[in-house]
Amino acid sequence: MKNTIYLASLHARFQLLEAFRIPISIVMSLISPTIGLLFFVLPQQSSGASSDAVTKAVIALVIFGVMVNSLFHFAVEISQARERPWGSYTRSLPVGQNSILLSYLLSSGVLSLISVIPLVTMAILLTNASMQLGEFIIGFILLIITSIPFMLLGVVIGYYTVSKAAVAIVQILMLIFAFGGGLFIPPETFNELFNTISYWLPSRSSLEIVSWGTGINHDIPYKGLIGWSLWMIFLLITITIRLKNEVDREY
Amino acid sequence: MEKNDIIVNLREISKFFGKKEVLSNINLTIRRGESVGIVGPNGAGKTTLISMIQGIKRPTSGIVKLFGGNPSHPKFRTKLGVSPQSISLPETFKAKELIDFVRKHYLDQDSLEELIEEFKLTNIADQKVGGLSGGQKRLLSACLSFSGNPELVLLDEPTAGLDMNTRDTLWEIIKKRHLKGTTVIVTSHYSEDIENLAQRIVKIDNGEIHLDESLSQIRNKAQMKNIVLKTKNPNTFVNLPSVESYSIDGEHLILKSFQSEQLIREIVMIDEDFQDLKVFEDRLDQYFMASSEEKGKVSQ
Repeated sequence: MKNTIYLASLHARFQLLEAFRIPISIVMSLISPTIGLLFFVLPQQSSGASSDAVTKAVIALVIFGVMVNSLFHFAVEISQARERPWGSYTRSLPVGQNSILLSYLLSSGVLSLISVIPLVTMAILLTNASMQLGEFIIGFILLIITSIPFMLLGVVIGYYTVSKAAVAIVQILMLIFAFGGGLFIPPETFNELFNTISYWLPSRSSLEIVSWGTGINHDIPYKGLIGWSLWMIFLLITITIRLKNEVDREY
Repeated sequence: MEKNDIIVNLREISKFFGKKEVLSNINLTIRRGESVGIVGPNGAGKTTLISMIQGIKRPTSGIVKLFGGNPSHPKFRTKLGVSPQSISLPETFKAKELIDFVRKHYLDQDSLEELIEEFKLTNIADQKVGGLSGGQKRLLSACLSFSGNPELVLLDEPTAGLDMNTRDTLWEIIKKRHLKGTTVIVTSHYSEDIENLAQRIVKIDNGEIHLDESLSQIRNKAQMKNIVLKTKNPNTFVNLPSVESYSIDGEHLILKSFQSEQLIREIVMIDEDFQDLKVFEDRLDQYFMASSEEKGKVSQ
């Protein structure tokens, strides 16, 4: 049998080709972060926000872009693939669930990267956001690590729901995570109760950790790290159980 | 491995969808190199059986083994090719892209160019699947099933919707592959498909195997004639020397014989009342496609 990495890259290429040939399916997740920059960050900058505040707002939108891509791509693609006859057909090919899951990670990673390129380019050209190269690299690595819960959550939704339900659930979660995690509104403006709840959301964990890694925040983000760890543990256990059952699932 | 190795082994398989039993106590072994036609009326359980062999459905009870293991696990599907009844190929891909995608899953893959040529897909290789006709999609689906040079190929209604020329083409390709050693399991509603592609016939009806014989045995049976008569004492007739088999349908006794004229003489000579004697010929597709009578009715 072909190895897991080879099969994962084969399926990832297939998924990306399909995504680019039906661009409408990815347009929203690709352009929404850039629209966010135009309507949230630029007005903040014109009203006198500091360079750090603008940089943090750009980071929040980058996280938003990766989050939208991860949730939508995983949840919708996986649930649709399980419903289509073609998905059932690929189930008869010699490819395991690990390769399929890894293929979604790869294709989602590429789409996320593509979605943040125009955002970062516009942030460099149009805002006073600033960052050293070293901070940028650390921030990028932390962004990848802290986006894993979004991907895993998308996987869980994809494996547990039908596609129509997946779209609805992702839209609700996206709003909760975006507003509740402080990606659209600076979390400093939250009241105490809302702020406490916010720390348990993966989007807030990601924002705190990446902001710390890029030097915007100086305090070690203990709450963010704990929140991220708990989400990871919960989601990994859920997915492990699901994938084990998936081998024996009927199509 | 020896030529007669068992590559599909189903033991005491039952399958329920809710409370409905669609397969009941199925025992079936298929050996390397065989060509098996699975026939039966709509809803007989053919596709369910095929789905179990390919690992996408599980039996409610019993054991399915493919190449000695559980077909749900991908390592046992490395020598399996499948052309499902309903495939709904992704429409944005070119035909050759799909073939290439599928064949790359296999270690022993055929070359893309050879596959396209073999399945006469040269003219449509660069076309997107969405623009292909139903028949072209069916041919492409068959091509996908052979693209990994499989040892076993499952073809579920492979010629449905094909015109006669394309059907002939596909028969020739499948027969050539079979001659090279590929084991073929095919389901079809067309008796021509079965006669062309299968040497062994398994008939399923109401979830049970009603017949499992070689095509030549069935052809012999089809040469038999049915002699139908009404009688109150069937036991007198069933032991006549020229009777091969018999069944009883209400007041009617159906006697099967290769020597119908001799049997009629024997019937006339015995001292027993009968009425409405009629003679019918069997057709091959009656064996393949007709719904079976009640279980236990036909006996030797």
